Amino acid sequence: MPEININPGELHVSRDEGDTIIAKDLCGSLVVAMHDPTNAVGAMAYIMLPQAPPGHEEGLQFAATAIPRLLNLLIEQGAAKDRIAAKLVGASCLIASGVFSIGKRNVAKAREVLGELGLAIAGEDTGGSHKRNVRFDIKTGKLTIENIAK
Amino acid sequence: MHEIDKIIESTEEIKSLPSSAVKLMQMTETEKSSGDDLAKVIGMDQGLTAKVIRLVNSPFYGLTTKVASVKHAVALLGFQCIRNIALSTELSKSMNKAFDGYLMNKGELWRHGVAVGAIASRIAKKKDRTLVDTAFTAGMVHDIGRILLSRFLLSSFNQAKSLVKAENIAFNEAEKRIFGMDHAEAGGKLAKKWGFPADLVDAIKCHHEPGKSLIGKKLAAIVHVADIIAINCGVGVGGDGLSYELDESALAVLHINETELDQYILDLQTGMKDIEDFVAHSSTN
Repeated sequence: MPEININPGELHVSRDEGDTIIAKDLCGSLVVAMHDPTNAVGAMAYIMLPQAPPGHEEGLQFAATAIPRLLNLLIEQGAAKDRIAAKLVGASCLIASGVFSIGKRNVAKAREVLGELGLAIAGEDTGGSHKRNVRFDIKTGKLTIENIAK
Repeated sequence: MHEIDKIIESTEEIKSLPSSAVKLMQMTETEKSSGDDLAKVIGMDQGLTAKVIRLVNSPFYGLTTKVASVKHAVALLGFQCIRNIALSTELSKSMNKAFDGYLMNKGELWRHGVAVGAIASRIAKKKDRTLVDTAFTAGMVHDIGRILLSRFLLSSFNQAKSLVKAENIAFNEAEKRIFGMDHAEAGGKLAKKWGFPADLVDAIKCHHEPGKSLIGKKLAAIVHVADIIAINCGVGVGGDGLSYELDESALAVLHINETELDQYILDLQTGMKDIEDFVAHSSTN
C-alpha cells in the first residue's frame, strides 16, 4: 500500500486505489483534500498561507493557487466536478494570536476559493490549538485524522 | 528553596554543559578571544573538530570552497558563526533527545531550536544586524527549560492540558500553576547555571513574554516571533501544540506587520531543507 508524504507547499494527485496520501505536523497550515468517489480519484494539498505576499510569486503553498490547481488536476485525471467532495483539515490557532491568525486566514481563504469554484465543503475539522496528522485513503476518500493531545 | 530549583538540583545530567561548550560561551562573552583561540578550543576535541568541519561544509552555509580546517572556517565565516556551530554540536547532546513529557519525539526539540535559530537570525538580519549571531544562538537554546520540566510533565501533562482548556490559558501559564514556573523561566535558570551570557539568559527567560525583558527587549522579541512562526509551521511541535499567546509588543518593538510575518513563514519553508541538514550534521546521538 504506497504511502505518499506531502510537505508544506506540496500537493499530490492519485487515481491509484492503493494509495494513501499523508500530511504530518499540521499546525497553522491547512490540508485541502478532494475526492471523486465514482472513479476513486483524489488529491490533497498542504497549504501554508492564504495567498502570496506582495512581490512573491504564486505557488502551491497558497490556498489561492493550490485549490484551483487541485481541481484542475482531478479533472485531468477523470473526475467530474459535480461529484467532487472537498474537505478541510488543520488550521489550528494560537490561544491569542492577534494579527498572526494564520489558521483562521487559511480557512477563510479556502472557503472563499472553494465557493468561487462552485465546490461545496463536505467535511471540515479545523481550528483548536493542537497538532494534527492526516491520512487520505484514495480508494474511499476517507480522511483519518490523528489529533495530538487535543 | 523554590520547587524548580529542587528540580534543577535533582536532574543529574543537566547540572553542567560539556566543558568545551562552557568555554565557547565564555569566549564570546568576553570578546577578547581571537579566531586562533577559538580554533584551539575546538581543536582540543577531535570529534568536535570533525563535526564543525562537516557542518561548515553542509549546504546550510552554502560555501563554494571546501573547508578543511577550523582556522580556514573562521576566516570564511567569522568568529561568531564558528562559535555557534561548535556550540550547536555540543548543545545537541542535551537537546537531541525525546522529551516524552511534552510528547516530543527524539530530535523534535533540537529541530525546533535550530529552526527558531534560523528564523531569528533572519529577522535580526532585517531588524538589527548586530544581533544576527546572538539571535541564532538564542533561538537554538530558547527551549532548554523543557529539558528540565519534561520528566515532571510525564505525570502532569494531562493536568496542564486540562487547565489550558478549562481556563483558556497558555500552556506555559499552566506550567507556572503546576510547577511554580514555566519552561522559559526554568530555562533561564538553567542557562545561568550553565554560565550563558546575560543577554541569552534574558532571551530564554522572556521568550514567551518578551515585553518583560529588562536587558534585551529586541533580542527577546526576535526569539518570541521566531518561536511563534516555527510553532505555526509545525516544526518541532509537541503535545502542547499552539497553546501559546502572541505578545504583540514584540511586533511593535520589531515593526513587523502581517505581510512580513507571512514572508518569514515562506523563508522557513524555503530554508527547511538546510535546517534539516544542519540538524542531521550537528546531532551526535
